[in-house]
Amino acid sequence: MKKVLALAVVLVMAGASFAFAADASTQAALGNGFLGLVVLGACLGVGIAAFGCGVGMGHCVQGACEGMARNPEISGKLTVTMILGLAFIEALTLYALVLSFYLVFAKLPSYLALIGA
Amino acid sequence: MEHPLFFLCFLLQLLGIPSGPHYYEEASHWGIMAYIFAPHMVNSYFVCILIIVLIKWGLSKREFIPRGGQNFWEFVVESLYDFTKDNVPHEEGPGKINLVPYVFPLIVMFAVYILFSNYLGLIPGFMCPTANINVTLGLTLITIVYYHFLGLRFQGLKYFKQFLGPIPALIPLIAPAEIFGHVGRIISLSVRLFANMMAKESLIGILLVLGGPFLAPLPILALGVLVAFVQMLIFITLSLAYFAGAVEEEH
Repeated sequence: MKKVLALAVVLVMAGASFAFAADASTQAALGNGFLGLVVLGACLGVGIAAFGCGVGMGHCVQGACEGMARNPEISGKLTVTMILGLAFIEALTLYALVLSFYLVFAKLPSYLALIGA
Repeated sequence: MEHPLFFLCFLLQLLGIPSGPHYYEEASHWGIMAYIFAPHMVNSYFVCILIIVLIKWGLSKREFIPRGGQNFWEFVVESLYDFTKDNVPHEEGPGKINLVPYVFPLIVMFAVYILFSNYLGLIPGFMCPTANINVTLGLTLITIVYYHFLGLRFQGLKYFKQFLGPIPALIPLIAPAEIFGHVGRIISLSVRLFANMMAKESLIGILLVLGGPFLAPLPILALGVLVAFVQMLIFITLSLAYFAGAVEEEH
Protein backbone atom coordinates (compact mmCIF):
# COMPACT_ATOMS: atom_id res chain seq x y z
CA MET A 1 0.00 0.00 0.00
CA LYS A 2 2.84 2.38 0.91
CA LYS A 3 4.50 1.70 -2.42
CA VAL A 4 1.28 2.48 -4.27
CA LEU A 5 0.93 5.72 -2.35
CA ALA A 6 4.53 6.66 -3.07
CA LEU A 7 4.00 5.92 -6.75
CA ALA A 8 0.87 8.06 -6.80
CA VAL A 9 2.72 10.93 -5.13
CA VAL A 10 5.55 10.67 -7.65
CA LEU A 11 3.05 10.68 -10.53
CA VAL A 12 1.26 13.73 -9.15
CA MET A 13 4.58 15.50 -8.60
CA ALA A 14 5.68 14.70 -12.15
CA GLY A 15 2.45 16.10 -13.52
CA ALA A 16 2.78 19.20 -11.33
CA SER A 17 6.36 19.84 -12.43
CA PHE A 18 5.28 19.68 -16.05
CA ALA A 19 2.51 22.11 -15.28
CA PHE A 20 4.89 24.52 -13.56
CA ALA A 21 7.44 24.27 -16.33
CA ALA A 22 5.00 25.55 -18.93
CA ASP A 23 4.15 29.22 -19.08
CA ALA A 24 0.64 30.44 -18.44
CA SER A 25 -0.69 30.39 -22.00
CA THR A 26 0.59 26.88 -22.72
CA GLN A 27 -0.81 25.76 -19.39
CA ALA A 28 -4.21 27.12 -20.30
CA ALA A 29 -4.01 25.50 -23.72
CA LEU A 30 -3.23 22.17 -22.10
CA GLY A 31 -6.29 22.55 -19.93
CA ASN A 32 -4.48 22.97 -16.59
CA GLY A 33 -3.36 19.35 -16.51
CA PHE A 34 -6.59 17.93 -17.89
CA LEU A 35 -4.83 16.77 -21.08
CA GLY A 36 -2.19 14.91 -19.08
CA LEU A 37 -4.86 13.30 -16.93
CA VAL A 38 -6.78 12.09 -19.98
CA VAL A 39 -3.69 10.57 -21.58
CA LEU A 40 -2.56 9.05 -18.28
CA GLY A 41 -6.01 7.59 -17.67
CA ALA A 42 -6.19 6.14 -21.16
CA CYS A 43 -2.78 4.44 -20.94
CA LEU A 44 -3.24 3.21 -17.36
CA GLY A 45 -6.67 1.84 -18.22
CA VAL A 46 -5.27 -0.31 -21.00
CA GLY A 47 -2.42 -1.41 -18.73
CA ILE A 48 -4.72 -2.51 -15.92
CA ALA A 49 -7.03 -4.33 -18.33
CA ALA A 50 -4.07 -6.08 -19.94
CA PHE A 51 -2.84 -7.12 -16.46
CA GLY A 52 -6.07 -8.90 -15.60
CA CYS A 53 -6.48 -10.41 -19.02
CA GLY A 54 -2.88 -11.65 -18.94
CA VAL A 55 -3.56 -13.52 -15.72
CA GLY A 56 -6.75 -14.97 -17.20
CA MET A 57 -5.07 -16.05 -20.42
CA GLY A 58 -2.26 -17.63 -18.42
CA HIS A 59 -4.76 -19.75 -16.51
CA CYS A 60 -6.47 -20.67 -19.77
CA VAL A 61 -3.28 -21.81 -21.50
CA GLN A 62 -2.10 -23.60 -18.36
CA GLY A 63 -5.28 -25.65 -18.22
CA ALA A 64 -5.10 -26.47 -21.91
CA CYS A 65 -1.45 -27.52 -21.68
CA GLU A 66 -2.13 -29.79 -18.70
CA GLY A 67 -5.04 -31.34 -20.50
CA MET A 68 -2.96 -31.95 -23.62
CA ALA A 69 -0.11 -33.46 -21.59
CA ARG A 70 -2.47 -35.91 -19.90
CA ASN A 71 -4.41 -36.81 -23.00
CA PRO A 72 -2.58 -35.93 -26.22
CA GLU A 73 -5.34 -37.45 -28.36
CA ILE A 74 -7.75 -34.58 -27.74
CA SER A 75 -5.19 -31.83 -28.28
CA GLY A 76 -6.97 -30.67 -31.44
CA LYS A 77 -10.28 -30.10 -29.67
CA LEU A 78 -8.53 -28.49 -26.73
CA THR A 79 -6.65 -26.10 -29.00
CA VAL A 80 -9.85 -24.94 -30.67
CA THR A 81 -11.57 -24.41 -27.33
CA MET A 82 -8.52 -22.64 -25.95
CA ILE A 83 -8.31 -20.23 -28.88
CA LEU A 84 -12.01 -19.45 -28.56
CA GLY A 85 -11.57 -18.78 -24.85
CA LEU A 86 -8.50 -16.67 -25.47
CA ALA A 87 -10.42 -14.56 -27.95
CA PHE A 88 -13.18 -14.02 -25.39
CA ILE A 89 -10.65 -12.92 -22.77
CA GLU A 90 -8.76 -10.76 -25.22
CA ALA A 91 -11.95 -8.86 -26.02
CA LEU A 92 -12.00 -7.50 -22.46
CA THR A 93 -8.67 -5.77 -22.99
CA LEU A 94 -9.92 -4.43 -26.26
CA TYR A 95 -12.96 -2.87 -24.58
CA ALA A 96 -10.52 -0.87 -22.47
CA LEU A 97 -8.51 -0.08 -25.59
CA VAL A 98 -11.62 1.24 -27.36
CA LEU A 99 -12.44 3.41 -24.35
CA SER A 100 -8.92 4.82 -24.27
CA PHE A 101 -9.01 5.49 -28.01
CA TYR A 102 -12.32 7.24 -27.45
CA LEU A 103 -10.74 9.37 -24.72
CA VAL A 104 -7.67 10.28 -26.72
CA PHE A 105 -9.07 10.69 -30.21
CA ALA A 106 -12.69 11.69 -29.69
CA LYS A 107 -12.87 13.36 -26.29
CA LEU A 108 -9.62 15.27 -26.39
CA PRO A 109 -10.11 17.22 -29.66
CA SER A 110 -13.58 18.27 -28.60
CA TYR A 111 -12.21 19.49 -25.28
CA LEU A 112 -9.33 21.30 -26.97
CA ALA A 113 -11.82 22.93 -29.35
CA LEU A 114 -13.88 23.95 -26.31
CA ILE A 115 -10.98 25.80 -24.67
CA GLY A 116 -9.91 27.22 -28.00
CA ALA A 117 -6.49 25.60 -28.26
CA MET B 1 -5.93 13.25 -37.41
CA GLU B 2 -4.11 11.74 -40.35
CA HIS B 3 -5.87 9.24 -42.56
CA PRO B 4 -4.52 6.43 -44.72
CA LEU B 5 -5.24 6.45 -48.42
CA PHE B 6 -8.18 4.24 -49.32
CA PHE B 7 -7.91 2.89 -52.82
CA LEU B 8 -11.63 2.64 -53.54
CA CYS B 9 -12.35 6.07 -52.08
CA PHE B 10 -9.54 7.47 -54.23
CA LEU B 11 -11.10 5.98 -57.34
CA LEU B 12 -14.49 7.43 -56.41
CA GLN B 13 -12.92 10.82 -55.76
CA LEU B 14 -11.57 10.77 -59.31
CA LEU B 15 -15.18 10.38 -60.42
CA GLY B 16 -16.10 13.48 -58.43
CA ILE B 17 -17.93 11.74 -55.61
CA PRO B 18 -17.24 13.09 -52.08
CA SER B 19 -15.95 9.78 -50.74
CA GLY B 20 -13.36 9.32 -48.02
CA PRO B 21 -12.64 9.97 -44.35
CA HIS B 22 -12.17 13.73 -44.78
CA TYR B 23 -15.59 14.08 -46.36
CA TYR B 24 -17.15 11.71 -43.82
CA GLU B 25 -15.90 13.80 -40.90
CA GLU B 26 -17.47 16.91 -42.43
CA ALA B 27 -20.52 15.11 -43.71
CA SER B 28 -22.87 17.83 -42.51
CA HIS B 29 -21.21 20.05 -45.11
CA TRP B 30 -20.95 17.53 -47.94
CA GLY B 31 -24.42 16.08 -47.66
CA ILE B 32 -25.78 12.57 -47.87
CA MET B 33 -23.30 11.40 -50.54
CA ALA B 34 -20.51 11.59 -47.96
CA TYR B 35 -22.51 9.22 -45.75
CA ILE B 36 -23.36 6.80 -48.55
CA PHE B 37 -19.77 6.71 -49.79
CA ALA B 38 -18.04 6.75 -46.38
CA PRO B 39 -14.91 4.56 -46.38
CA HIS B 40 -16.44 1.68 -44.46
CA MET B 41 -19.52 1.74 -46.68
CA VAL B 42 -17.46 1.72 -49.89
CA ASN B 43 -15.40 -1.22 -48.64
CA SER B 44 -18.58 -2.96 -47.54
CA TYR B 45 -20.06 -2.58 -51.05
CA PHE B 46 -16.81 -3.97 -52.42
CA VAL B 47 -17.06 -7.02 -50.13
CA CYS B 48 -20.68 -7.60 -51.18
CA ILE B 49 -19.81 -7.37 -54.88
CA LEU B 50 -16.81 -9.65 -54.36
CA ILE B 51 -18.93 -12.27 -52.60
CA ILE B 52 -21.63 -12.15 -55.28
CA VAL B 53 -19.07 -12.47 -58.08
CA LEU B 54 -17.29 -15.36 -56.36
CA ILE B 55 -20.58 -17.19 -55.77
CA LYS B 56 -21.62 -16.67 -59.39
CA TRP B 57 -18.22 -17.99 -60.45
CA GLY B 58 -18.68 -21.01 -58.20
CA LEU B 59 -22.16 -21.66 -59.59
CA SER B 60 -21.26 -21.14 -63.25
CA LYS B 61 -20.09 -24.69 -63.99
CA ARG B 62 -21.86 -27.30 -61.89
CA GLU B 63 -20.24 -30.71 -62.12
CA PHE B 64 -20.77 -33.98 -60.33
CA ILE B 65 -17.19 -33.98 -59.09
CA PRO B 66 -16.67 -30.40 -57.91
CA ARG B 67 -13.57 -28.48 -58.90
CA GLY B 68 -12.31 -24.98 -58.25
CA GLY B 69 -14.91 -22.49 -57.11
CA GLN B 70 -17.69 -25.03 -56.77
CA ASN B 71 -15.46 -27.13 -54.53
CA PHE B 72 -14.66 -24.13 -52.34
CA TRP B 73 -18.25 -23.03 -51.88
CA GLU B 74 -19.47 -26.57 -51.24
CA PHE B 75 -16.81 -26.89 -48.55
CA VAL B 76 -17.84 -23.57 -46.98
CA VAL B 77 -21.56 -24.30 -47.01
CA GLU B 78 -21.15 -27.86 -45.76
CA SER B 79 -18.84 -26.87 -42.89
CA LEU B 80 -21.23 -24.11 -41.87
CA TYR B 81 -24.19 -26.49 -42.10
CA ASP B 82 -22.52 -29.00 -39.82
CA PHE B 83 -21.51 -26.23 -37.44
CA THR B 84 -25.06 -24.85 -37.33
CA LYS B 85 -26.50 -28.31 -36.77
CA ASP B 86 -24.15 -28.95 -33.86
CA ASN B 87 -25.13 -25.76 -32.08
CA VAL B 88 -28.91 -25.37 -32.41
CA PRO B 89 -31.79 -27.80 -31.67
CA HIS B 90 -32.51 -29.77 -34.85
CA GLU B 91 -34.96 -32.54 -33.93
CA GLU B 92 -37.35 -33.58 -36.67
CA GLY B 93 -40.98 -34.46 -36.03
CA PRO B 94 -44.13 -32.94 -34.53
CA GLY B 95 -43.66 -31.00 -31.34
CA LYS B 96 -39.91 -30.84 -31.84
CA ILE B 97 -38.00 -27.75 -32.81
CA ASN B 98 -35.84 -27.73 -35.94
CA LEU B 99 -34.10 -24.39 -35.99
CA VAL B 100 -31.63 -25.09 -38.81
CA PRO B 101 -33.79 -23.79 -41.73
CA TYR B 102 -34.51 -20.61 -39.77
CA VAL B 103 -30.94 -19.65 -38.94
CA PHE B 104 -28.71 -21.35 -41.52
CA PRO B 105 -28.95 -18.70 -44.31
CA LEU B 106 -28.34 -15.94 -41.80
CA ILE B 107 -25.31 -17.75 -40.37
CA VAL B 108 -23.83 -18.24 -43.85
CA MET B 109 -24.34 -14.55 -44.55
CA PHE B 110 -22.69 -13.56 -41.27
CA ALA B 111 -19.77 -15.94 -41.72
CA VAL B 112 -18.93 -15.08 -45.32
CA TYR B 113 -19.48 -11.35 -44.96
CA ILE B 114 -17.50 -11.01 -41.73
CA LEU B 115 -14.66 -13.24 -42.92
CA PHE B 116 -14.26 -11.38 -46.22
CA SER B 117 -14.54 -8.03 -44.43
CA ASN B 118 -11.89 -8.99 -41.89
CA TYR B 119 -9.50 -10.27 -44.52
CA LEU B 120 -9.98 -7.18 -46.71
CA GLY B 121 -8.24 -5.12 -44.02
CA LEU B 122 -5.02 -7.09 -44.53
CA ILE B 123 -4.62 -5.65 -48.04
CA PRO B 124 -2.91 -2.24 -48.09
CA GLY B 125 -5.21 0.46 -49.38
CA PHE B 126 -8.36 -1.16 -48.09
CA MET B 127 -9.97 -1.17 -44.66
CA CYS B 128 -12.09 -3.67 -42.75
CA PRO B 129 -15.72 -2.59 -42.93
CA THR B 130 -15.97 -4.33 -39.54
CA ALA B 131 -13.45 -1.85 -38.09
CA ASN B 132 -16.32 0.63 -37.88
CA ILE B 133 -18.79 0.39 -35.01
CA ASN B 134 -21.78 1.14 -37.26
CA VAL B 135 -21.26 -1.98 -39.37
CA THR B 136 -20.83 -4.35 -36.44
CA LEU B 137 -23.71 -2.76 -34.58
CA GLY B 138 -25.90 -3.36 -37.62
CA LEU B 139 -24.90 -7.02 -37.77
CA THR B 140 -25.50 -7.36 -34.03
CA LEU B 141 -28.94 -5.78 -34.20
CA ILE B 142 -29.95 -8.32 -36.85
CA THR B 143 -28.99 -11.09 -34.42
CA ILE B 144 -30.71 -9.47 -31.44
CA VAL B 145 -34.00 -8.72 -33.20
CA TYR B 146 -34.05 -12.14 -34.84
CA TYR B 147 -33.51 -14.15 -31.68
CA HIS B 148 -36.29 -12.29 -29.90
CA PHE B 149 -38.46 -12.99 -32.95
CA LEU B 150 -37.55 -16.69 -32.86
CA GLY B 151 -38.28 -16.86 -29.15
CA LEU B 152 -41.74 -15.38 -29.69
CA ARG B 153 -42.31 -17.56 -32.75
CA PHE B 154 -41.52 -20.85 -31.01
CA GLN B 155 -42.56 -20.18 -27.42
CA GLY B 156 -45.28 -17.56 -27.79
CA LEU B 157 -45.88 -15.40 -24.77
CA LYS B 158 -44.16 -18.00 -22.60
CA TYR B 159 -40.95 -16.50 -23.94
CA PHE B 160 -41.28 -13.60 -21.51
CA LYS B 161 -41.27 -16.06 -18.61
CA GLN B 162 -37.54 -16.47 -19.25
CA PHE B 163 -37.03 -12.92 -18.11
CA LEU B 164 -38.81 -13.48 -14.80
CA GLY B 165 -36.94 -16.40 -13.28
CA PRO B 166 -38.39 -19.44 -11.53
CA ILE B 167 -39.57 -17.91 -8.23
CA PRO B 168 -42.30 -15.20 -8.28
CA ALA B 169 -40.96 -13.51 -5.15
CA LEU B 170 -37.61 -12.87 -6.81
CA ILE B 171 -39.01 -11.18 -9.95
CA PRO B 172 -37.94 -7.64 -8.94
CA LEU B 173 -34.39 -8.90 -8.55
CA ILE B 174 -34.13 -11.17 -11.57
CA ALA B 175 -36.00 -9.20 -14.22
CA PRO B 176 -33.63 -6.19 -14.24
CA ALA B 177 -30.63 -8.50 -14.28
CA GLU B 178 -32.02 -10.44 -17.24
CA ILE B 179 -32.88 -7.29 -19.16
CA PHE B 180 -29.45 -5.88 -18.44
CA GLY B 181 -27.91 -9.12 -19.70
CA HIS B 182 -29.86 -8.87 -22.95
CA VAL B 183 -28.79 -5.25 -23.43
CA GLY B 184 -25.21 -6.20 -22.60
CA ARG B 185 -25.29 -8.74 -25.42
CA ILE B 186 -25.72 -5.90 -27.92
CA ILE B 187 -22.67 -4.11 -26.59
CA SER B 188 -20.43 -7.13 -26.12
CA LEU B 189 -21.17 -8.72 -29.50
CA SER B 190 -20.69 -5.54 -31.51
CA VAL B 191 -17.78 -4.05 -29.61
CA ARG B 192 -15.86 -7.35 -29.55
CA LEU B 193 -15.70 -7.61 -33.33
CA PHE B 194 -15.19 -3.88 -33.82
CA ALA B 195 -12.46 -3.62 -31.17
CA ASN B 196 -10.47 -6.56 -32.50
CA MET B 197 -10.46 -5.23 -36.03
CA MET B 198 -9.83 -1.63 -35.03
CA ALA B 199 -7.04 -2.62 -32.65
CA LYS B 200 -5.36 -4.57 -35.44
CA GLU B 201 -5.64 -1.70 -37.91
CA SER B 202 -4.47 0.99 -35.52
CA LEU B 203 -1.60 -1.21 -34.33
CA ILE B 204 -0.49 -1.64 -37.94
CA GLY B 205 -0.73 2.11 -38.39
CA ILE B 206 1.33 2.87 -35.27
CA LEU B 207 3.99 0.32 -36.23
CA LEU B 208 4.14 1.78 -39.74
CA VAL B 209 4.84 5.19 -38.27
CA LEU B 210 7.35 3.96 -35.69
CA GLY B 211 9.18 1.10 -37.31
CA GLY B 212 9.34 1.66 -41.03
CA PRO B 213 7.07 0.44 -43.77
CA PHE B 214 8.22 -3.10 -44.47
CA LEU B 215 9.06 -5.46 -41.61
CA ALA B 216 7.53 -3.85 -38.53
CA PRO B 217 3.82 -4.55 -39.21
CA LEU B 218 4.44 -8.10 -40.45
CA PRO B 219 3.87 -9.92 -37.12
CA ILE B 220 0.60 -8.04 -36.62
CA LEU B 221 -0.50 -8.90 -40.15
CA ALA B 222 0.30 -12.57 -39.52
CA LEU B 223 -1.64 -12.42 -36.26
CA GLY B 224 -4.43 -10.64 -38.11
CA VAL B 225 -5.01 -13.68 -40.30
CA LEU B 226 -5.74 -15.74 -37.18
CA VAL B 227 -7.73 -13.02 -35.43
CA ALA B 228 -9.93 -12.41 -38.47
CA PHE B 229 -10.95 -16.06 -38.62
CA VAL B 230 -11.40 -16.47 -34.86
CA GLN B 231 -13.57 -13.36 -34.59
CA MET B 232 -15.82 -14.64 -37.37
CA LEU B 233 -16.07 -17.97 -35.56
CA ILE B 234 -16.92 -16.26 -32.27
CA PHE B 235 -19.55 -14.06 -33.86
CA ILE B 236 -21.44 -16.97 -35.42
CA THR B 237 -20.95 -19.18 -32.33
CA LEU B 238 -22.48 -16.54 -30.08
CA SER B 239 -25.28 -15.84 -32.55
CA LEU B 240 -26.12 -19.54 -32.63
CA ALA B 241 -25.98 -19.73 -28.83
CA TYR B 242 -28.43 -16.82 -28.58
CA PHE B 243 -30.76 -18.39 -31.15
CA ALA B 244 -30.66 -21.73 -29.34
CA GLY B 245 -31.13 -20.08 -25.95
CA ALA B 246 -34.18 -18.16 -27.11
CA VAL B 247 -36.16 -21.18 -28.34
CA GLU B 248 -35.25 -23.68 -25.65
CA GLU B 249 -37.62 -23.82 -22.72
CA GLU B 250 -36.54 -23.33 -19.15
CA HIS B 251 -36.20 -26.50 -17.15
